[in-house]
Amino acid sequence: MVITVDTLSKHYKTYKKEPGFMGSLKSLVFRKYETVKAVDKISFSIEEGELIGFIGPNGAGKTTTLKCLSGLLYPTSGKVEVLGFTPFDRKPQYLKQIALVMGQKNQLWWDLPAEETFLLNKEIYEIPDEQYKNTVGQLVELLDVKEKLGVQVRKLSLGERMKMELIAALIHTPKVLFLDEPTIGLDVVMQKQLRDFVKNYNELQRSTILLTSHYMEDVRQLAKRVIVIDHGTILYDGKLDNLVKKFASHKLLSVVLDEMVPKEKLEEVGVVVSYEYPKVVIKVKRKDSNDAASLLLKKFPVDDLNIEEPDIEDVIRDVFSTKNG
Amino acid sequence: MNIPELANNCMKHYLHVYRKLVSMNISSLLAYRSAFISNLISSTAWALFIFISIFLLTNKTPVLFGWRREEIILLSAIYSIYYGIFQCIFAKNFGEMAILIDNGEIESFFLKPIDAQFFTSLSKLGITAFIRVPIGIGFMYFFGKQLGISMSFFDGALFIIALCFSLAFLYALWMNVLLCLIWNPRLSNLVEVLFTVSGMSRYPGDMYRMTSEVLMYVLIPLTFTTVVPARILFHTAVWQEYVILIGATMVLYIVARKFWLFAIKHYTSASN
Amino acid sequence: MRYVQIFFLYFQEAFAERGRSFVWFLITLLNPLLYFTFWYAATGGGEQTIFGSSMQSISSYYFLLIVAGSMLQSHAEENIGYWHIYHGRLTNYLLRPISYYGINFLSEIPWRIIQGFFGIVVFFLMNFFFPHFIVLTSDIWTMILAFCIFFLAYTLSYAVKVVIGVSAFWLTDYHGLVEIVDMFRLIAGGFVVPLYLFPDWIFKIVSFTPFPYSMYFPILAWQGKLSYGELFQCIGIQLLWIVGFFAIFKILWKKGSREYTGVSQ
Repeated sequence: MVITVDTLSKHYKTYKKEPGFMGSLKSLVFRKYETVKAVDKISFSIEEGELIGFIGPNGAGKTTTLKCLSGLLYPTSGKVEVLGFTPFDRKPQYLKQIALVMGQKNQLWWDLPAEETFLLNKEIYEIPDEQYKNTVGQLVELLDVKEKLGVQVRKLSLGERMKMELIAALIHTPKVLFLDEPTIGLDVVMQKQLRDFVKNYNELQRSTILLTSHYMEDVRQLAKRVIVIDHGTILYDGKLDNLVKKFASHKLLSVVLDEMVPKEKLEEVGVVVSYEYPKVVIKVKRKDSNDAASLLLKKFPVDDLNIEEPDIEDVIRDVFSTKNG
Repeated sequence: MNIPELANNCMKHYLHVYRKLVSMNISSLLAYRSAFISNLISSTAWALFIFISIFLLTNKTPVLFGWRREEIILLSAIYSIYYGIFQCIFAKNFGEMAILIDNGEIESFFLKPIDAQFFTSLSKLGITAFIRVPIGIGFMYFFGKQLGISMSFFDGALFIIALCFSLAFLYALWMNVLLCLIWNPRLSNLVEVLFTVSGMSRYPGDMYRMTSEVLMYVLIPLTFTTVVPARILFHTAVWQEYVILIGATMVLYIVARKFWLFAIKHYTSASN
Repeated sequence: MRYVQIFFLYFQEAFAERGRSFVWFLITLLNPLLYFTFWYAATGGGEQTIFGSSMQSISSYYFLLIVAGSMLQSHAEENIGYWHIYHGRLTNYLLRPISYYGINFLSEIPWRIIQGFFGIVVFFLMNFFFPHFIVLTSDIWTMILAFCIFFLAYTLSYAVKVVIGVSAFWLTDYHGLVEIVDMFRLIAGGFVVPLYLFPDWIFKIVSFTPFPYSMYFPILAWQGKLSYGELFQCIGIQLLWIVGFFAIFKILWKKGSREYTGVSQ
């Protein structure tokens, strides 16, 4: 196992203030502290070469978990081991094998071309000249940024900057890569480019990648295994396909009608989600899907019928909204 | 590999990194000419302000609390020299560190395979602040001549060693104060107060003693950062003061290091 | 009425940052105390006079400087030049039906009140422990005029700083200008030594600048060192400077807001 997490917890102490001017004065003397359990007794393990999607709503504990794994935060309790090291010790040998890329934060020097930061990292990570040339050459080609190497970072677009950030983070060819919302704020074309890059990189280098993202497309395209976290606890850890099966309480019957049928009649079968003749989509309970399909075929003029899983985004949304009550 | 070789390799590694940082800082500064000129003007202005204020204060008084006017000005000159080096090498990093701690963004320094204290303390340079050094040397030479000061090679060596300890003392003092921000990140402007506190070293301890003995003893190590090098120039150096300066610097530095290791354990970065 | 509401909102914001306010206050506290210590030692513990002035007069000056320094110095140029113009936040203000000059003025006042509160507390503590070090006017009319001068001093400081701040429309890095003006302000405003200790010819020159009227003369007013005529003269000159700088601001604002592109530089 490359990453082992055993009952990891990270708690913070915060206080609440009442709104308004009087609230401000009151908070001077009376303060109500509370403990926020950002991460609460989570456990999981990851093998070498896996690409894991780590998903959850805002405030779920994704970034906190990544920071504990990378060694930035000291856990409140529990055990974490990455590549045989305790991350928080931050030994140089450990740091030379990992990288953390955070979508909205950067390490590039603003007034200089990104290449200068690459050279700085080359010195810091003690990368031999030949290896540096090869690695940077490969990465630049994969990300198609050769023309932009000599341009000041402040003059690059957000997408270009993100690519440079990735190169800067991967110069030392880390074995474990933590990506915290790497596609945030990027347009769809750039998102796809970055996804393709991450996929290729994972295949080429056999590096272990832990990726957090709000965009389900990132997870769908890249991760075979997902860990779903909410309010600091793990809701699900397993294959993406099985996530739908586990949490989706319904299925979708996608129907093409031969003749016009009133919507009310179709509602005898299930909930009509969309009705645009001749295409109709009906939502039915998972355990009733086969019976519902038979009933549709028997009672109505159906030209074509498909039983589909609900969209994963809808499933996740339902999971989180149920949890939040 | 044996220990001396390891140490040698380690030092080479850090020197290479520092050399790269210096070159990047120079490139960054020269990227915008107007910013370079603007920074140079402001550094020169503040360098001169120290001397203008001391001239105004000592305008009509030849002797103050046992010190001649020229000697007090010389203290300011010495302060300008080591403070100029401090501003050039360290001050900008402290300012940035305060902001990074406040914004929860200092973590990028923690994930490099290089000592984080080294990296955070030395990654940025305030190059134009170095102007204080030649200005200080100029005033020191001029008023030194007025006082009839002559310096042997041995005096020069002692003077430079004393200045090095003054610089290290200032660094350790700033680091100890800055690390308190880990628990109070919103007080990032504490760095600005340190500029004023550092300026207290321009005056001899005798001045503070007149107000309060307690105040003098509290400020002694700070005042020694200028007084000890000055006394070497005046040939009135007292070895006990030298020892106090070195001792205080070493103690403060060790505390700073231990405090750093303790503080980063408690660092809770801001969420994304 | 909306300006009152806005003021209270800004006050809440400033109050939430009272820790930072206190730290800023420490800077305005330490420098005058340092100079006071200097003069106290220079006069052999207050035994001697300083060029005709008693230690009492000098110490009053520096203790009042603590209050003046915390209440009367605007830092509007930082907000306007750096955050609004340089970082593009000016867009928020341009799109609102409210005076930019007025809203910045309102946003600053809570900070001055909070820091001034610290200054006044320190001043009263000094008065309690060292009453022989402080001399203030006891004449009620002088006090009333001194209040007016204090308020106008802050308004003048604000007017000057706003003009410096809007220079950021044209200067990509205006900090050099800010530092030069600051240095001059500290000297000509009597922050280092009271201006009556300056050589006459220097005093005459700085009197033609606005800086003595934003710090030095307000302090003298509270010390009771100005006659009624001089108090009214001070108020008149302050008003002239305020109007003059406001006019400069209007011209620069009209030109500069056309240059503004709405993106950070």
